[in-house]
Amino acid sequence: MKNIYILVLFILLLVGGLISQYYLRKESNDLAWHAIASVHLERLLVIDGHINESIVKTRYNLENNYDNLAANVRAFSDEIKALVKHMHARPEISLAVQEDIDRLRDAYENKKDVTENFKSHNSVLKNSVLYAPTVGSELIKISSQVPEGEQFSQYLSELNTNVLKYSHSTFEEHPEVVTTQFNELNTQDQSLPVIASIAYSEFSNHVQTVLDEKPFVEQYLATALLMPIADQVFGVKSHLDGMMLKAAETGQQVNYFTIAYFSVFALSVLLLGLRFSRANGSIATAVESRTRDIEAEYLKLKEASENSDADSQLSASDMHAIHAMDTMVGNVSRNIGSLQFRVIEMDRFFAWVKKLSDTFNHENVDKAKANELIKKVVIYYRDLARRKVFDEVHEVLKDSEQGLQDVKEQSAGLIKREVN
Amino acid sequence: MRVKTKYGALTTFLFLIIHTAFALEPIEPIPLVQDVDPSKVALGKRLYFDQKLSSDGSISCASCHDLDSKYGTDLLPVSTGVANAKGTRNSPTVLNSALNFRQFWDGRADTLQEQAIEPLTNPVEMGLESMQQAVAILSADNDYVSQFAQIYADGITPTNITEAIAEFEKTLMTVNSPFDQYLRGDANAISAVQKRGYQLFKSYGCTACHQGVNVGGNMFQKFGVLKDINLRDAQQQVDLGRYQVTKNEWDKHVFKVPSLRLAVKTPPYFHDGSAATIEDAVNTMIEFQLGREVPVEDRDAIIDFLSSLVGDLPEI
Repeated sequence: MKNIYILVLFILLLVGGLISQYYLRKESNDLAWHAIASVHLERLLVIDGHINESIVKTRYNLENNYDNLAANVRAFSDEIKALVKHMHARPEISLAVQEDIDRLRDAYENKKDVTENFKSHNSVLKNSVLYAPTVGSELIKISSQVPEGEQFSQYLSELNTNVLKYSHSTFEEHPEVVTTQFNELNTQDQSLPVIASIAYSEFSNHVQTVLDEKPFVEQYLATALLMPIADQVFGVKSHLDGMMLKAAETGQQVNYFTIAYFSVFALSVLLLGLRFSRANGSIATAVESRTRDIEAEYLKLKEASENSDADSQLSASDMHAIHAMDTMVGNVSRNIGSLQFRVIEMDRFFAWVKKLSDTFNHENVDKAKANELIKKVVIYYRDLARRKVFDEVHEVLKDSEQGLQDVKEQSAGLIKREVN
Repeated sequence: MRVKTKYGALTTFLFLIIHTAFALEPIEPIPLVQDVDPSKVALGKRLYFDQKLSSDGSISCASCHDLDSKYGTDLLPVSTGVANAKGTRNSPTVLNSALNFRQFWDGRADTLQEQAIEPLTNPVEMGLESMQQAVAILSADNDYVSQFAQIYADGITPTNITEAIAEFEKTLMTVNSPFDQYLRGDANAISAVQKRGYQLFKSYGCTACHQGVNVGGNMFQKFGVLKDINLRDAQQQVDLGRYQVTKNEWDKHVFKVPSLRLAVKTPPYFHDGSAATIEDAVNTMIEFQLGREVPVEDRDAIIDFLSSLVGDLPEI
């Protein structure tokens, strides 16, 4: 009956162990989820860098079309979608993280708009920057051919140069030089030949376009580059890291719990084992001791019998008693042999249990090793239980006790008769 | 004085030389191979041509985007949908549309898949009440049920329908145009006039907007950059373009820059189909977008160059 209680206890402990395994698995899933989210966020930062790079390159003609820029903006959109999908795969995502993601999406939408505006204005600027010098050169040629056009031609030439410089300048350079020269030129356009008036109109139109568009281009360029996409990404990451830290702490607690749990489990198994060991050890010792006594008694009886045999024949009843005792002692000896074999088996089992206990007492528990040991202990226990080794030991001991009692009684009768 | 003038002219000249010599080509060839899923392409093709996907069973995607001889359009100013309803904007070609950075004239759809939803449920196009109606129609057809089941674990869904159509549309590329062959190194693939037209196309500033692999289709631009478009459209109700999507003031008259890959084959032109011929369209661009006058021979050379952009029609 006691074995059933032990089995139930063992099963309960095992179920508890499985539940803690479940928590460990959940912790592992948290880590994987966070790692994937981090990869998406890292990619967003990289793609945002590519977008910025393309913006600068298209501004300064290092990229001569917008395909890369458009592809990078699309890639950013796809990556955000992938991030959001990944985040929503976890239902317990916090409100703070959700708000951060929303802010990131808004920032991206703004950047997309700013990028589109940059492209539009940059194209207009490029168009005029490309065309103004062409028509300007034509005008220089025409005006320099007439005497009164020399001054005009000089202004035009300087303006042409400055328009080019200005259009490719950095943010710090101001348009005042171009504006002043342009205004001076406009006061002198009377000196142009009539045939050049249409060309001059186109030229001034494009110079004005350069003056108008460049501030927009630089404004959108600067806005796009300075948009806080990285800040928003780090905002999401910061919250995710917070969540993960909490999960890790919980996981660590689960770890401590698991270690404590398995220590208790191992201890309980050890205690149960020791209980058997003590009980069986004491019985075995008692049996051995008693057997030695019986053997000693038997030898004495046998010696007495041999002595009396020399003097006279033993009575039939004495002979019967001695034979019975011989049989009983033989049985007890066999039983003791069987018992000793069982005790060896149980000792082996308790050695495994001790090993398991030692493993869990170690500072850094090797989970794989512990699991392997638990498995072996359980298999061994099940094997012993299946073969009813524990019951058999009890039965053997019980039989031996009875046999010894019989031998004792027989020998007492024999001695009594001898004395008489 | 003369020295300064010469210095200025020299600077200008050097700038143009450097600009031309070191600038990368603004146009790139269409990739010869597309990365697609053949089973989805087959399903998408079937859906593309299926008139069942309209409220009266009369219209398919192919009705307005004809792949046989009309280069992915219907060659009409605006298309005719179910019950003879008229659309409001010109149907752009579906060919090479996968290369566009957004879809529709106002760029309201980011992807082909997003775009595919609207015609199906637009009352003046295919007229379905919802995508669920499309699911119901297809679910009544055992062949479709089986074909979807072979590709998608969740069978017929709105997402799967549009994804298959989009996958098919990704294959609709006009590769190997003479100009692409020229870009790939065959100097004789285009004529001398076409080469001159390309140089003019660049020097007049057309490539400021029409650039990239699709010669456009990768940015928005205001219609009427250097001249007010209201001067052209005074007599008509003006389409405000992207403004209708964003409500941003600066998006008024802004449209997606169309691809010029098949421009010579797909009249009429612009969002309203208002330019009947390629000459009309180029003239309008020169006047309103470039703000200049261009000799007719230059314009014609540019148009000749545009004809070199036409590649092979995809095999359907």
